[in-house]
Amino acid sequence: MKRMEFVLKRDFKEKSGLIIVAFFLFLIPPHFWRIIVSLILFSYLLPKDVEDGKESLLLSLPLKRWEIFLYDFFIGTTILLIAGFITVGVLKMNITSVFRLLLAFPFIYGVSMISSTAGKGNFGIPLLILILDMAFSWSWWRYVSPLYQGSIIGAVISILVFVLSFICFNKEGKM
Amino acid sequence: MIVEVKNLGKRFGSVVAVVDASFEVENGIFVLIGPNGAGKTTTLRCLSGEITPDTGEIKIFGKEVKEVKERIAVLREDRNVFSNMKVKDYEELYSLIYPKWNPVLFRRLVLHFNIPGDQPVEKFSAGMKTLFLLSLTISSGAELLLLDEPTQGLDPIKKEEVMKILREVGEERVLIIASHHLEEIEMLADNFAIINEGKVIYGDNLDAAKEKHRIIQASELTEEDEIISVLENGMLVRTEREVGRYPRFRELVLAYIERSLKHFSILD
Repeated sequence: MKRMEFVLKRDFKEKSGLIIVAFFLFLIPPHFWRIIVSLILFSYLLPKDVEDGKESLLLSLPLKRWEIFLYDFFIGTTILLIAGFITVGVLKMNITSVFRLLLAFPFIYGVSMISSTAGKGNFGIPLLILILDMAFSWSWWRYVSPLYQGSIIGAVISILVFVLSFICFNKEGKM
Repeated sequence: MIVEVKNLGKRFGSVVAVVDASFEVENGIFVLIGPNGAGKTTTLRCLSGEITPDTGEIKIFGKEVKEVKERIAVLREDRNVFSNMKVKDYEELYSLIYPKWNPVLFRRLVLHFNIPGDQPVEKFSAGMKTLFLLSLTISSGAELLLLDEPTQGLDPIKKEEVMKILREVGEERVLIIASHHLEEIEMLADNFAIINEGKVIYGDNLDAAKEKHRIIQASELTEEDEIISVLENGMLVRTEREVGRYPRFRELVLAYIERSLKHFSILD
């Protein structure tokens, strides 16, 4: 638990501005908007560290790769879920909308991790992928879209991308 | 044995950083010596568990590196630091992940080096970053310290202070230092390994190494002697004979590196 506390405190000390802004922006309801806000938060957690070479600083401390990867994901997810549940309570939004986002988070984090470990940046290419996915969500694509979550296939794709991103990160990513 | 490295190999894409490096560290201060790009930093990064070797095996305290990371503390060569954090933030974070964190020692070191507590660490000068990160590393309470160029960016007075502190720390804990400053190494090291182009080309106890080698003239050479390198003032040989004079540490290191170099000339 102390190592998780380390990652949590480090994120809040280094990235408090981003976390606060993302939290409040996530209170604004539209699904597409919240997807973009999720990307802003997730891409500036571990993917940004990989981009800046700071993950090696973390790895030279008594932290394991899987811990850094998962703890950052849990931190991002928790912050956004709290904001999501506030909208459910205050704006009387359907709780299903929050769960649809929850299933999209692994995809958003995963895409950003894959992009940064491949040396392609933590934000630009993931943003393009997210826009393309959402742009086609009016068609049959919504049933497989990991962002729209129109069926179980979207959830499976989201988890698969998350697992793939962990495998990429575990292979030491950008060197 | 505290550290056992067997046939370590690591490459980054097409760049070979370390090839078949092997050495052992039992106690005291062990120094990896070599020119820039020799593979010292990559070796330390493998030892710290930051990167995984492609080949070979590393055992620390008889276990895999990932199992003993809490017993290892690292001073990195790049002096990379977290953003927006001051001395007290670091203290809070390090105390979470190092079970034997020593707050009293940390505060003593911070006071001794006059490290400013009111500035973000990323705004420190290069020398101040070195002193601060070294203070963190020593105060971690870790039993094995991996120090990459621990006197980098320091003025001569601070260098002396740091060397004195490292000698004291080395009496209780194991230090592996990567450096190319031969005079400092000679003052610090109990044991050493010379590394060049990713290979360990010679390793020994400091005194034993001097005893096994001599500087002799060409006329004194016999078939029993192994020529290491020809120097300006004679040749360095490995021999058991009582002949010539003992080499200085500098001569020994440079001779081994010279022997391993691919010679370059603009006329080639």
